[in-house]
Amino acid sequence: MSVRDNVFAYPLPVWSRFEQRPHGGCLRGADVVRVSAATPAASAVLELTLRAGPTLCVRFRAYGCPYTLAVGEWLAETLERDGVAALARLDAPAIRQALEIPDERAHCALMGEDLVRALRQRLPS
Amino acid sequence: MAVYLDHNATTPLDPRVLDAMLPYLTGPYGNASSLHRFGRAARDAVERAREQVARLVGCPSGAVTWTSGGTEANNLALKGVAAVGGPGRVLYGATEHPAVLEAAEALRGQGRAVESVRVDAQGCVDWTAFETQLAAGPVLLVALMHANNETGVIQDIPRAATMVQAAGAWLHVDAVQSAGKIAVDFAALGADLMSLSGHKLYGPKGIGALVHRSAVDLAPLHHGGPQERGLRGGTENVAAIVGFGAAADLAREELDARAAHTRALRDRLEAALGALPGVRIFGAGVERLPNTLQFALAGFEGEALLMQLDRKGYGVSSGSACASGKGEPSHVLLGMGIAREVAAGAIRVSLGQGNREADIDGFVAALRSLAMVTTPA
Amino acid sequence: MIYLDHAATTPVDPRVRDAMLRWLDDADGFGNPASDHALGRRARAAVEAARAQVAALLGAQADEIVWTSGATESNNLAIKGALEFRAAPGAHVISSRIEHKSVVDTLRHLEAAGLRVSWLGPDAGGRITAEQVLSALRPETAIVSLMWVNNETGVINPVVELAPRLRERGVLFHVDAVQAAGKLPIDLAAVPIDLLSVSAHKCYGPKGIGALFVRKRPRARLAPQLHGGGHEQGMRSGTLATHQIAGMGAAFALAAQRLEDDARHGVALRERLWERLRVLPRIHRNGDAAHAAPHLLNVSFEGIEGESLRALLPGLALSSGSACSSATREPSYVLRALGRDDELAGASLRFSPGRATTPAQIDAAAAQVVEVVQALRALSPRWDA
Repeated sequence: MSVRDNVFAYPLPVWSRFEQRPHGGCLRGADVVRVSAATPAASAVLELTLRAGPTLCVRFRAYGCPYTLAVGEWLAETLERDGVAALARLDAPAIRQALEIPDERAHCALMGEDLVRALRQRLPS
Repeated sequence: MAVYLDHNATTPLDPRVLDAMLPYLTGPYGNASSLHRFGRAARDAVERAREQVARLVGCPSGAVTWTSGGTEANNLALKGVAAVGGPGRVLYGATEHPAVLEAAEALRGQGRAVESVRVDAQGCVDWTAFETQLAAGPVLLVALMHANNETGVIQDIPRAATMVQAAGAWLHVDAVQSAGKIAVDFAALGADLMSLSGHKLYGPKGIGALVHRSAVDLAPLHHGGPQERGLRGGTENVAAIVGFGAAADLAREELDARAAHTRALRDRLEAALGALPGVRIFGAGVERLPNTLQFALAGFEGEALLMQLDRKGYGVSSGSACASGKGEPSHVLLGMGIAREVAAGAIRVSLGQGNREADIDGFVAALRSLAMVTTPA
Repeated sequence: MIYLDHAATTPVDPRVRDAMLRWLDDADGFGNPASDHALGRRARAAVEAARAQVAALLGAQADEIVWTSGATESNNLAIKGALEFRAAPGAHVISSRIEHKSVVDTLRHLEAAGLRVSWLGPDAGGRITAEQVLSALRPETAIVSLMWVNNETGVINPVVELAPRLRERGVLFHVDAVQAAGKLPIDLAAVPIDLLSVSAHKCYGPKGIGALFVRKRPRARLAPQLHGGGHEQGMRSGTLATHQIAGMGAAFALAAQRLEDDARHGVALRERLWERLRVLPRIHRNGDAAHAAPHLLNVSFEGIEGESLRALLPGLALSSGSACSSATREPSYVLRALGRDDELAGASLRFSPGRATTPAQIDAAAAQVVEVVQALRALSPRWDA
């Protein structure tokens, strides 16, 4: 439920996850897996922290444009809902399609893909 | 209240146009180039108006660039093409509006070869001379007006377009006086550029447009800002743009009725003037705008007659509003080969939607009484 | 929606609107001011009355005011017109990196055609100093073009101090006063500026109308840039839009009346806003507060990204250093000229309160900004509080 108006007309799947970010934050502890990605000039940074267990808990932090934040929120939300098995099917095109990210912002989805790859390596399948 | 017979100088604002403008005079006061919501509302209104103006003249809306009026549109066309258009002469019709004529002369001052195109005694292009002129060397741009502001004479633009295209030049058409009075179709005319003005078709003053095909390269006149795709910097005059759009819509819907209304009055006037001795009507033998009639009364000085008609409550002019008060006979009439002393007596009557038969009859009566009183025996 | 973008454009004052309507809906109000009949004379009288009103706010003579379609045209006419009239090959112009786009783009265009331009950069406070200008002078310097008040930072340049010194040296002085008119006292009878651009819509007047002051004694000479008909003493052709001009006259008359009240109100709101924003650490006020116009406050926020900042403030109408959505805008060149990096220039907001802005609106706006900045900082892996 959005409390602000999307006056700049971001795609709705982006806007809803940018404007309200229930998965924003950072998990701490020895059992937390932390991965991060950045654009080449570090003009945007995206980080996921994940705690496996009976209930998977995922949080994100980000510095960047609304698309960057929305990618973080969406990945956290998707992983919590579908479990780490979802990692197998998540890549940049899937992220772009789900969030309706336009071409000129494709790099935000690529950051998401970088995070997914890093998680695949870090998590025992 | 005076009888206004000077609609080619400017028209009253249509109350429906004012209604369309009012919300933008005080309402969403965004700068159309601002990113916030007020700005977006303004931008939407500007784009709607662009479509309305485009529909009036049958061009894609992307071809319409806003200007501060017809003068700026004509300047942008001539100087904008000349600035980036490579070598070649610039030709303009001998009876063009001062905005075209003086813009062309300014190009001459910058070293460009500029020539005027001869017209015949009716004000129509001398086609044989034009053909020779086109063939005499490379031509960059030809500027010909669609309808003359003084005589109302309508130029055969499609014919000119075929010749200009064959010569590999661009054709600019000043349609400030024809738009809203007769059908104007950018594509059918064969124009590459075309200027328009809001206040000649019951829209507001201070707004006009240049239409141009995307194939034509143009340099801006006013640098600064991304407005109008970089072609015309400056904060958009939103209320006036909206007014121009509304006026264009109405002009399109009511074109035939408006033309029929003024044509009937003009014909009535022409018939009545024909009954006065020594009246000469300019461009009488060719197609003219339905609302315009320029004439001279033998033995009378135009400025003096205008002043007396004004005192009697009739607002007419000698010709272009810009040139009025300068005491020089009209370059339009001189270009048509009319003798100076005849041209000096010219009076232009230009009719509009508010005029009635009684206005015509009253005007003729006033003219007759002036002629009787002052005619030397 | 809280409107804090008065430096971009202002609402038309109801009294201005009434002055305009008189020439839009009155049966006798529509004449062409160039026409020689009753309706034409009527419109011409309105145009001349407005000319006197505009001149009065500037301390000028009425016949020194030339109507244009806005400040962009005024700036173009001043610079191109003066240079073209002088027609001096190899001419040199002094200007600054923080000028409005209409000056920068005009000079860049002429530069490509051979004009030599000295682009002065501001000091850390956003100001161009008089010494900087004077030391950039060359024998062939034709014009100095400098803005009175910068449109992004509100910083006031020392044009009053500079004008007599340029006059002594015989250099033409053009001042873009778009953000100064109606905000600061301007007295052209005392300050020997030669050409000065103003706009109506930044002063509660209509869009699409502006003016250029062209000094009569000594006479500043210009080649016209719009030809055709010889209106405005031959300097600017085109049918005069009576309602726009009447609106600008009314707006400037009102601005003259309210000059001190408006300034007091602006300063109070500006400082109130700054006080409320200062609860945030690591924020920067752009531009020297000791030389600030009353109506502008520009702030950069460390540690957050500009587009997200702007997008989370849809309830505020203001300008930002960053673009949202598909609109393309570079991070402010003015803020970069002040030494801010791209990131900080992008994460900046320009607040410009106006006559109708209330202290409560300022408080609400500040609260929204503080909340959003704190939320974005909390979310940023790069922010270490």
